[in-house]
Amino acid sequence: MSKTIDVRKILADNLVVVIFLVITAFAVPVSGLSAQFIIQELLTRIGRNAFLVFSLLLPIMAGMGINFGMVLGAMAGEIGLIVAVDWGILGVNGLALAALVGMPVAVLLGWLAGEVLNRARGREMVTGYILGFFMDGVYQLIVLYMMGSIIPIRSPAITLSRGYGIRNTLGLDSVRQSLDTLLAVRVGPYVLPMATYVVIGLLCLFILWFRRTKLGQDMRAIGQDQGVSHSAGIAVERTRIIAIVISTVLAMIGQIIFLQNMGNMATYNAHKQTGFFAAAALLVGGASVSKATIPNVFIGVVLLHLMYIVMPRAGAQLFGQAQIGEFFRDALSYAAIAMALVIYAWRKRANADKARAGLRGGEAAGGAK
Amino acid sequence: MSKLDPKTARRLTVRAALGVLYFVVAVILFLTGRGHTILVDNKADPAGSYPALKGAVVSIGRAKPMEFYPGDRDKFIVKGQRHVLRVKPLAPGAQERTVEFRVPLGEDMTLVSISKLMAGVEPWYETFTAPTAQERAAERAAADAENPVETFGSFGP
Repeated sequence: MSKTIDVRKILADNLVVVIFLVITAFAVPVSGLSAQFIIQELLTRIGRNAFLVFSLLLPIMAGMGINFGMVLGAMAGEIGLIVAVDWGILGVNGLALAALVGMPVAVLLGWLAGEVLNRARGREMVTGYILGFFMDGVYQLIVLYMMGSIIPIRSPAITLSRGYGIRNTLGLDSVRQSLDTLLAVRVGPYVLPMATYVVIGLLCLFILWFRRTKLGQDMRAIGQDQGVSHSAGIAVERTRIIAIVISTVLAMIGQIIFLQNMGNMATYNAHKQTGFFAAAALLVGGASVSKATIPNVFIGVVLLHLMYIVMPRAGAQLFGQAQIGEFFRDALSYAAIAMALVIYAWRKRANADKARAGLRGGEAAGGAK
Repeated sequence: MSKLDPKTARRLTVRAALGVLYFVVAVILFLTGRGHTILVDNKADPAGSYPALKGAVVSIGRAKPMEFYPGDRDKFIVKGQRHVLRVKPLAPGAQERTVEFRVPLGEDMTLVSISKLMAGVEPWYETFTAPTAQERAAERAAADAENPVETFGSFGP
């Protein structure tokens, strides 16, 4: 039995990946950066970002699209880190304690987000995005006004000079790169943060295992068709809430891993772009808002960050200004998200047309196959 | 009072146990990960009751050893409350001294005087509180008020 390879279909299915590959293939030699530098940067950035991107998988599996509400989890992680730094907990203990402190906050926020998204069915992505903005205001109220006044803060070093509120930039010296350096392995000229990779590997195993569980199967069924799932006796609303809660908790841990690598925290801004970067990475990796896999995460993180590494230098080489490369990479990241959403809508309509044509016994009305 | 069915009772027990485990893990992480700054000081007594060491290698636990000369002050950042301090004077024939000490859980900074320790003066370690920016500003203002500085056109700040 022979199979014909439809190049057009492969290109259409992976359009965003192909565009990013072409752009980076052009930008890498122009940037003049050495392969060793680029590979080391990529190895670091995979450890830093992959966990955050993984937090988006389960809501996609449950048919809720990209969980832009993951910034709620990022905020919970930041609250955990503020507490760990204030209590002076060093190293991996500090990270683990930050995760334990952030966990109930993330579960509560995830549950609230899930309840809201259940009431905004079909508009989950934009609702999650706006929910992130709303909760940012609540976060600022807590961190800027309540910490140090109502919520006790011990350390004057992290509070504003007026005596309450947390400083704009929080030094994370006590936990800086503690996970990355816990088990750093040197392979030739490269340093691999193995402990971070182990954590990411465990998360991959968890996702693989979770898909096979009853709850995972329920989520996949809901992602396929909510009406049929409901008829089959699956608690649709509860399962969707669980998907968002798990995603928020994973985003909380991901933000802690991200910030320990960075070594400092922009207290009031660090979470704002988290959802956007994670979504861009996943979509660049070939995922759509209805289907995402583990390889999509790794391909996306590598491609997006390859572009982030080389673009400023390529801009500097071509136009004499690194800033142009920075603008270009931001524009391309937004374009990736927009393009993925457009392709998804286009494909959905084309499939519906095809299904209707099939019912009539005629040809498909064109569009995606 | 109605009795819980075994399934519900088991579920509640498991949840309670998980809650307790969560709390216990958090406490262990707190106790074992609590960081303290140990300031090591090699200064002589201004009144002359004990001298500064001419030179010493100091280590705390598994931290990298540091050399101290007269007037030096440096810091070690340590985890946990119980620590072993090792002072090895650089003078030939001088005895190395190893002592164990405990930092209270709530204390951020401890000042250890190795010159006091080697001279046998007690207490050789004490709580250190770094002045805040506001306190330093208040001290400066008080000093300025005592000694007004002449400026262009007026007196005082």
